[in-house]
Amino acid sequence: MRSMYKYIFSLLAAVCVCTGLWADETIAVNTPAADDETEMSNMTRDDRRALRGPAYQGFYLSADLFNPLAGFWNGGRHEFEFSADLGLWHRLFPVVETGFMLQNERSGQVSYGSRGFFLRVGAGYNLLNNQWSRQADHAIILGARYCFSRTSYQASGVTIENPYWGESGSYDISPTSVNQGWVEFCATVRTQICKGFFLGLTGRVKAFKHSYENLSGMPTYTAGYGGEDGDSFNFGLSFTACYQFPYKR
Amino acid sequence: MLRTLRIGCLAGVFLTALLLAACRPDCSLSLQTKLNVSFWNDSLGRESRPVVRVHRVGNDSILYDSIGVSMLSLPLHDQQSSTDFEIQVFASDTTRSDTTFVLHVEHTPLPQYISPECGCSMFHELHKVSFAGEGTEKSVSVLSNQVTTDAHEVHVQVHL
Repeated sequence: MRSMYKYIFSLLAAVCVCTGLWADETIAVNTPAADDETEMSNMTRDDRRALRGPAYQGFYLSADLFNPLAGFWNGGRHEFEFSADLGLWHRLFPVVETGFMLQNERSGQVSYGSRGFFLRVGAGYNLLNNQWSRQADHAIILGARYCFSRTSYQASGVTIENPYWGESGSYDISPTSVNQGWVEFCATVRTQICKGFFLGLTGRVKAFKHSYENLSGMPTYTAGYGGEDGDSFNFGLSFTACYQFPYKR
Repeated sequence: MLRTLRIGCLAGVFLTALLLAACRPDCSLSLQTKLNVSFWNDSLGRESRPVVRVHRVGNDSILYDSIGVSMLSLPLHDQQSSTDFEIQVFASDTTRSDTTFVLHVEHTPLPQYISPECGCSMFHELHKVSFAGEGTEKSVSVLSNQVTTDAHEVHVQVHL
């Protein structure tokens, strides 16, 4: 699973580079003649505050493009994700993300159905905050999230054999709901394609998964977290389209 | 021309990523779920490695035949709510005698669908673990009441 994500990430990183270069040519940017760092260090505090601008610098609404389409190829699991984040001084980005998952899968005699929703709350810090990037609101954001997910699942035709005791049978799993939480660390690259519209690529590492009740079973795929492969952490990737509400610069 | 080429490259990379998302990795989990039992020596204050012989009650099928183990992995019934194993612990020196007891486990089987690649497995929720017969002065601690595909988790600890 990790090697698959490595290949996907490298391909989508290439997409992001291409879109960044494309955006660089389509948006008129007044690049300053002087070096940014030298210019900033020679300014007074009031001048730097004036250059930094007001606190509110954009409200972004994003939707994931990758996972909804991947559902047509991954065996019947569709996941949708939306997020809203606020730009503060083009440095801090508090964010709320939500989404839901629908899964209907048939493998041999097993029929498995699952649905769930997730909620993420967190913030990010923009590493790209020079005069050039502020003109077009490009950003490279490192962030952390706390995530909550509720997933319901059921199955029929689950066949299990026990050769030691000579037992074999077909079982049904009654509808079961589980509530889980975890922590995510993420990195986002977001570039403006045309006025007000952005494309973004986010990579995530998900860890410290825990359950809110004494878990007697687990779903095949936890909404927002992913599948269980025996590791204590998981990876995630999303490719988003984003709209920025205009703000006074 | 160049704009068309860029759009085509972006679309091609995106579609390739989607196709890669359809790749299904092989199963990396072990589907065997077994009750893991370790031994604790109260007098020494540490885990012990006794020589044991283990077989299921009412059957001569031997799981462990006079070997020293730090942990027993015992398969539970999938279609019954209790499982019994006879455990013979050989004395470590001549001043002590061998002891034989029946480990009685009450549990609820819980079928699980792991994934299309892995298939299905039977989890168990432990309710009660006790001894019967000789050696009932031994105590047992339930460290975890969830028997899953984690082959390294110790569920029960027997105090010798």
